[in-house]
Amino acid sequence: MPCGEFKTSYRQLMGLLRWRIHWAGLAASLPLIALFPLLVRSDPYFIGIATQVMIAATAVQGLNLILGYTGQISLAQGGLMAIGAYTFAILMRDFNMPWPLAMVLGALVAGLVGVAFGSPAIKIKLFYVAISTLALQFFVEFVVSSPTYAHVFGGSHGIYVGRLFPIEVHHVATYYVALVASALTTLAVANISRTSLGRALKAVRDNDVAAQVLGIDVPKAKLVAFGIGSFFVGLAGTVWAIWIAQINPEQFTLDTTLDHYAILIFGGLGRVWGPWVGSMIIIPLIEGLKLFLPQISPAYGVYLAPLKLIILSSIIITLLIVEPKGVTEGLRKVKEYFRLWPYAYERG
Amino acid sequence: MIDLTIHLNLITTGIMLGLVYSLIAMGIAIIFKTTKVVNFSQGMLATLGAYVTLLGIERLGLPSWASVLFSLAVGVMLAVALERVVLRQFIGEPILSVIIVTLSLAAFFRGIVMIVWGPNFVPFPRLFGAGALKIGEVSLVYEYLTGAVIALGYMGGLALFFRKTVLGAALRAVSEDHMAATAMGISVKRSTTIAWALGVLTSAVGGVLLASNYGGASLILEYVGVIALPAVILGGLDSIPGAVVGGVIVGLLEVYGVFYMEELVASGFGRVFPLLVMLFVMLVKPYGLWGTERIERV
Repeated sequence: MPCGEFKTSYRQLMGLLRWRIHWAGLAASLPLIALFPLLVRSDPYFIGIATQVMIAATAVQGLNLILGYTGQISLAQGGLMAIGAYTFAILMRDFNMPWPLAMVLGALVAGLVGVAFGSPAIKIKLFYVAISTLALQFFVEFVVSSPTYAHVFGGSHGIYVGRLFPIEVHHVATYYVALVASALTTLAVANISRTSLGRALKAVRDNDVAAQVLGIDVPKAKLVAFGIGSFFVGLAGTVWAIWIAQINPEQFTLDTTLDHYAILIFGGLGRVWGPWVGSMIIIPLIEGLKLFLPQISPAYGVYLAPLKLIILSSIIITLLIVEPKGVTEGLRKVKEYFRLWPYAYERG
Repeated sequence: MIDLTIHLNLITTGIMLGLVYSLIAMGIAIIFKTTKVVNFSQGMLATLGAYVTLLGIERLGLPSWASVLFSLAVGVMLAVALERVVLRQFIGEPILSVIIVTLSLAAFFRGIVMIVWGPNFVPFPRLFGAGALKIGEVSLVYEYLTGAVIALGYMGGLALFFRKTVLGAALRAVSEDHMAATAMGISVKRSTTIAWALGVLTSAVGGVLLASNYGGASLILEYVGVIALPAVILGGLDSIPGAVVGGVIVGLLEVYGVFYMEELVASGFGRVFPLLVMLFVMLVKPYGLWGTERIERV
């Protein structure tokens, strides 16, 4: 056994900040994150990318709870974000609500819908749940883009949310809204993962029949995961609505779901930091592609969407073949290799 | 009171459309039976069949029958390649990974279609001539009719293949029990490849027929991959006759949904309607009409 710090109680072992390096990381990153807008001199482009990263991290954290911790498939990422965003926009437009309340309500509606469409998971699993959430995705796209309901959802044109904050500070203010939302989401998932609920969810993921035998209420655990996870996805949708100011059905297609799967699988399923690692790599990658393509030839702009599909799907398939637990796990293996080098394994 | 002829027209159209859906649903069921993988990219592969036919006609200058054959051959080769290169890696992996992989494959091919053909509607030449066959008050559009006839013929051929040939019997054996099949000298690996080839071939036939029904190929066709899922769920995932019946039910639901509900709800509802019915079926009878119920143990 290597020398070093050892935990002597369960309480210490399950702490959020377990090692000194955690404290150091927190102390170093907090000012960096909080003062990021100052660092880039309030450049809307970079703040925009950072905001997108945090929105994606929030939404993928929701997916992480459903897919990573509970092992249930949800293909309605775009649809759930749309539910959050549209509820938010409608509440703001028709009821003149204060925006934080509208955000919570939008996320809540997404959570309830998530429970409703996740409910087939009580009886059946995997393919069926995937198909059920796929149905939700198509149903939402159909409703919000339908010309018949244009007086509510604005049809293909969408809804103009407007800027909540004065134009000079809009970007910075949205950055902080996204920061708070994503931080709270991450904290919530981190806490869920170390309580009895989190252990129940993981048990359902690893073997649901065995979990049932051990006395875990499996249907309840699945529904709770769908509810909380969809709530976070909906929350991400509301932040998106604040940021983009004009929502339309094009922003919430099945492609969003693919983005989120690429992010989660890249970062690592069932890890609190997975969504962050993934979105900090994948989102700038997509943004870089957006900048890079027109530079080769201005006509190449049309290839952005298909190339994004091809690249992201290749990333997903390659990672699932090579390292299904994500890049974080791969890095851990590398670190372990160098720690033990030149030996292949630890001496007993 | 609505006329009887309207109903007759709706029913025949629904059945004819449904039979084409059945082909795509059967493709999913064939693959699932042997490999226990639900292929979410089946709709995209069917769409690809239509696009490759188009490639044969327009860029290679083949006659339409030859380009259909060309497209089917490409489909089979693609299926074998996919199975060998990608899906074989996932034998024994969690089903979750396999689902995500097939979904990503759909996105991959969508990207390729968008690069090669663009995202817009590409007109498809008429394969079977225009017009409609009139029987009394019921009119059968030729394209739908020939599509349905070909679908029926293909299904008959498939049934004969499964019942009468040695290869068909081997596939059935593998779908029942991998271990017993291996003990009988049947190669499970080879059967898996054949099942993928057969499944994609079946769906590609469906894709070509559907494109000829619509008079063109576009990415909207990918939607049939979604509509084929209710068909297989309704019939039971591992039942091939179930897929046929499920396809016909979905066709009828779509036609009736368009006729009755679009005015009530909104245009485009006909396509969502089968999905909603499927959700209800999943809650009430999760294993479909003829699917095998799975009993699990730890």
